[in-house]
Amino acid sequence: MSIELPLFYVYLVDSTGSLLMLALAVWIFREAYCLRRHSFMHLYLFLLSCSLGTFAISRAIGHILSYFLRYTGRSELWEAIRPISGGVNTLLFVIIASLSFYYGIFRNLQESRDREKERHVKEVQKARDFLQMVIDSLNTQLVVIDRAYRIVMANKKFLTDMNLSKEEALTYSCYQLLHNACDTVDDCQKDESESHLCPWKKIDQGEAPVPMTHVHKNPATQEERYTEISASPVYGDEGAVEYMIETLTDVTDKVKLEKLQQEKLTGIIELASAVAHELNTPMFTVLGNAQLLRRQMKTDAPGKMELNTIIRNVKKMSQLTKEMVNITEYTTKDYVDIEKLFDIAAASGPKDEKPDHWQIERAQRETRWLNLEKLAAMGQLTASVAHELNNAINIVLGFSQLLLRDANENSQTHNDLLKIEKNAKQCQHIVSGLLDYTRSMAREKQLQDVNQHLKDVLKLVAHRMALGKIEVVTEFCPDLKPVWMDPDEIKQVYVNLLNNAADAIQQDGQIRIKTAFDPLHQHILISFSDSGPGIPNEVMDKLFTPFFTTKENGMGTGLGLNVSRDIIRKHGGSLEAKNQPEGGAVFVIRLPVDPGEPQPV
Amino acid sequence: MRSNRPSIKRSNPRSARRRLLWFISGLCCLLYDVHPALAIQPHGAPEGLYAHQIAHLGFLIAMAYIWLRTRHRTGEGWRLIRLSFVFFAVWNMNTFINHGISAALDPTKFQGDMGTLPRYLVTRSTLDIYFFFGQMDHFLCIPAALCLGLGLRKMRRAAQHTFSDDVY
Repeated sequence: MSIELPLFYVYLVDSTGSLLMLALAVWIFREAYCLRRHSFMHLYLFLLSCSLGTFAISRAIGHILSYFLRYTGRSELWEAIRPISGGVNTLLFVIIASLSFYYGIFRNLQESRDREKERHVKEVQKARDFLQMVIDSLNTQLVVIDRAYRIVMANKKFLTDMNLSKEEALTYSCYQLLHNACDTVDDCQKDESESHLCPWKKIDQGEAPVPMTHVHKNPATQEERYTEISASPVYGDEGAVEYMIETLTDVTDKVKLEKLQQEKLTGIIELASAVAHELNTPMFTVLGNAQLLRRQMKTDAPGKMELNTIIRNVKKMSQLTKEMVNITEYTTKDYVDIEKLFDIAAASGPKDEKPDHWQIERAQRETRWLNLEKLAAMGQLTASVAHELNNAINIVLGFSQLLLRDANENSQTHNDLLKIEKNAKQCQHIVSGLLDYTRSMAREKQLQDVNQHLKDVLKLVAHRMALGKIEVVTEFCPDLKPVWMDPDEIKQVYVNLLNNAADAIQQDGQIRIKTAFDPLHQHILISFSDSGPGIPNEVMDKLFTPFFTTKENGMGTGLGLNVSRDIIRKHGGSLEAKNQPEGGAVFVIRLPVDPGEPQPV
Repeated sequence: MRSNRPSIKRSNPRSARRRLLWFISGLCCLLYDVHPALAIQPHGAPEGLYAHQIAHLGFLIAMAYIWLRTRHRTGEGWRLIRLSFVFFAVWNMNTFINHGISAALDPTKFQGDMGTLPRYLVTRSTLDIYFFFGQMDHFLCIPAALCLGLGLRKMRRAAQHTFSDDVY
């Protein structure tokens, strides 16, 4: 069976389709043309569209021409054109196929390159993260500054201290952020005379900059802080310095402490000089009176030996005073004022050899330490001399009081001894000022056996107790753990409590000292109980109040118990007072047993 | 003392002799039946059709390949562009088959006159009917071009807003 199908529809579809394809080819070309430069994929689509468009045009023209020529009876002309049209179409197919395959190959290469790049980026990021982690873990501020003084990197510590986010910090210049009074770098560099030497300058001179101290203003708190800066250059590929790494350490507390210590030490030296001067008169009065008394006494007279001891100790006092004068002279004579030296050098030296700020900064740093070390040593020496002086005075005072007890009240000897006692007390008063000052210096704790320490203190007050006929009974707990303490300060507490007890008893009584261990709280307990009248209930609350005293005028300052409580508290312990049921007062010291390392008080 | 110069590996004389024997045998075979050779080979009529058909196959494979390469792309316009690749592939297949049928078709099946154009196609088999409908291939290539154009337009508009890698 055969069907005749009208070819007219084929011609119609073909002609219309060809015209449509022509229009579509132009449109596709226009769309692809706009995309061609965005990426390789777009370029491929552009070339593909161009090829397809050309093919569509070629084919459409071929078909239309075919119908037209054949319809108009010029088949032979079409037969001549036909192979050309077919050939062009074939060529375009090959071009389209080639483009597609080339695109695929190129994409493969590109994907492999992208993977490699991604892996590389990941590795770089990992290294970067690690570096950032290390930098952020630093406990000092770290900041990287470029040649234009811009902050290009900052660590966590810096950002936290400045109260800034990373993005905010990167918008600042170093002089704006740290010297926020400066709007421009020139303003900042004008400040150089005030220890604001810019580390960039030294790096430009090709030398590693010395550490320097700047006064930085914290933008968050507006507080001025002493900051020690250490800068290191970062070299670029061409060997030129491109960045600078600055580590900033806040040394405000250190500088303040240094200044305070220096002031204190200078104060001690100055005070020692004054003390040495003031001691002269009473000391030689004591010596003169003692020597006069000795001359009046017969060789075997009672009290001669005591007088000899007094004279010997006064001579010792005189020697110690001379020593103190020597120390103060030595300290003040050799104190190096580096700025003065540089002023002289700058004024007299040739222009090229004038010291710059860097040399001054370095020399200042070195000499400051030298001076401080020297001052510390001299201060320590002065303190020990003052201590020895005090011991000698105590002996003089003790023996003069002993002699006074046995002397006839209306005799000349009694009057002379009174003069000796009075002047010795004056010496004691003068030296006590210096001793108090030296005690306020920084001390170190030591591991101390409480029982042994108490025994040593008791030796000091034995004379006082003997004078008042006061019996001291000790009940020391054996095998007590040693305690970290400042022995001098604790000694002061013990002496205060013993003196108070002796004052309360006045004459004929007993002081009982007990030590014990509290295993529950890990405390050492030290109690001082006396057989005195006890503490009146109305003063019990005010007992530790500063300047509160029940003693007669001139007999007490009212600071002893207050200072004692503060000292014990500084040691992490407590001081309590109460009355005993059987009469008398008891003071209990609790000191914690500290197994750790010694810490400065 | 050993020399640092690279040593030249000497070939085995027996294997060299064997290779020479093979070469001479091959040469003798070639010279056995010798004819005069033409420097330029003539190309007859069917070659054009074959080249065109091969090009169609290349086009078809290229479209399938590019569709596979871009099948995971999610950017603007890619769905339409991939659809255009499918249409072009199908169009290629149809044209390839039609060219094949056309070459084998009996010219007497074209009847009637419309200028020198035939008016009817007398179909006696399914292939004839397929040929008739296959001739109207614009139903495939126009949607292909349309999809490509629309896809490119979408892509251009997206690229104008952002140059993200998504459209890449």
